[in-house]
Amino acid sequence: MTKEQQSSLSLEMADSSGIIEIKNVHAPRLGDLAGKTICELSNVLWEASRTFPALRQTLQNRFAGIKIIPYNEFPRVYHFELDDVSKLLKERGCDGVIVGNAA
Amino acid sequence: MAELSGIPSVVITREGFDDVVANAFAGLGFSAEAPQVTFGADLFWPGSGLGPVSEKAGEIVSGLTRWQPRVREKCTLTPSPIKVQGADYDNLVHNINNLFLRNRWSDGLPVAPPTRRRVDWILTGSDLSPDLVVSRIYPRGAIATVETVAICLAMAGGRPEYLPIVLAAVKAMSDPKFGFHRMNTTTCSSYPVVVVSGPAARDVRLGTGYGSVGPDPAHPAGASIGRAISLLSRCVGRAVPGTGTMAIFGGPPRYVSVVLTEDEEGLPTGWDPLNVEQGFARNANSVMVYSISGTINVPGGEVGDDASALASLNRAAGMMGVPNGHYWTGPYNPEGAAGILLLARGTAQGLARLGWTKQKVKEYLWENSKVPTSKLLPRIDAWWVPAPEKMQEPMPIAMSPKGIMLVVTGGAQSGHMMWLQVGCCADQPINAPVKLPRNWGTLLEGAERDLGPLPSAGT
Repeated sequence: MTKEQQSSLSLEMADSSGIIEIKNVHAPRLGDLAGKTICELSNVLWEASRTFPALRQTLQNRFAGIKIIPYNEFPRVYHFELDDVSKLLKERGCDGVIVGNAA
Repeated sequence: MAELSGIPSVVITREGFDDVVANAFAGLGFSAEAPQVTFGADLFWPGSGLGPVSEKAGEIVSGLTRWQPRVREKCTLTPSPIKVQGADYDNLVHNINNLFLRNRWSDGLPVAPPTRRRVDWILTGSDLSPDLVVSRIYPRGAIATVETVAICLAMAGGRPEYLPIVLAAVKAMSDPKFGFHRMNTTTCSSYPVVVVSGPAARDVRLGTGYGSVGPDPAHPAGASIGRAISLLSRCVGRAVPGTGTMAIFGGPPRYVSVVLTEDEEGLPTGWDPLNVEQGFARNANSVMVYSISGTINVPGGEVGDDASALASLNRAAGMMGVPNGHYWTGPYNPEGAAGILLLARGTAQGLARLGWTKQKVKEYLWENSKVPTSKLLPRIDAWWVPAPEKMQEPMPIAMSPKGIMLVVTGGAQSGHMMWLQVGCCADQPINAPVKLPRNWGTLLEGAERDLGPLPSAGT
């Protein structure tokens, strides 16, 4: 033991960061987008009107049979309750969702 | 949120927002990680080149098809005690504060170390079990128990007799109509105001005289209570700038909130205390919480005759009647409020002597703070102006005079007023009773030993 360690003070304190309860696990991934229905959800901000169509075109060129439901067929996400999101996504047969733009 | 329904998602965001998105997932009960693809901020500006979208399309696809979280099972993570060492006292204090800063368990100011002994002392301020859940604090959504609240109050330099008030305030803030999660994440620089009513307010040394909103070493309770609330947001909720809270400016009240009490002894005859107006019995101990984004000094609250009374009220109405978009969003409902006007005892007594009831003052301010619709236009963003069906000419700042709250505080003088203007997030003020522990008298004796005699009211 060094001299510094011999003379050291020690203080035990409580951790203020609270309790983390992980009560949900992320959804399983799709493996492939071919033939899948992909839905867009947007706040309609930060150039979503340009970025989403560009991405849509790219995905449709890459994956055969992919169906993309544009964000303007869903309510704007700021005005959308969680339960309503879930219900609507299931009703529209969404296999995966692209959310944006968080900028 | 698609993932809650078992549908995989991927989030498009800008560089530097990845922690924000991860926090949002944590707030929904997931591990703090998210399938997301980041872009340079310039992609999201008008006229940007869209090349990055196709260049990163593969990452977006991967987010939906292959991405895997590090945590794949449900679990509960309980914090453990932390041991800090130092070569001597100065070095120990230095190391403690560095640890809290590095972990973002801080507001940036030095904290009082929450040792086990100190936290246990604070916990003597409540009869509730330390394990009792008080609230989830967002954006991270971590759980604050009675003990967590006591830890943050210890860090804020608090005392056990403050604990019942902090617990009541946090409980009230957890009401969805308060919008705590929105306050902790929004770009708006809003913060809580806590008005404590009843005899417990004076017992714990909240001031009603000069500087009643603080700072005041003779009345230290407000700073500690408000700072404890703020620390809960930083430490538990991770409402840290740039990763959790996106308030563009923040501001000094985000350190200690705005905690005050009413000068109930100085209320004019016929003027009910705030909590009686809110439905509590006279002398009940309670808190009212609300969201504000401004503490605006209104110069000139002198009231000696009819002319000076009207002049003072007109000055207040003029400061209130501005195109503050927050007036007409969430709070524009029958239970919402445009803000709280603080009047010193001298102003309130002067008004009452001239026949102004509390209701009459509210009605006058409501009528004379209306904003011409020409000041609301052009519509920069439709969110910040009233919906067409609500639009009136001129536009009231609250749905009715009830939405202008009055609180008498600041001592016997009649020099200025203060307008606490609603910020974003809250839909309405929320009230909660303050539950005192059985040992309340003993706690107050301890305060008297530590701090000296209770200062007289209104000073």
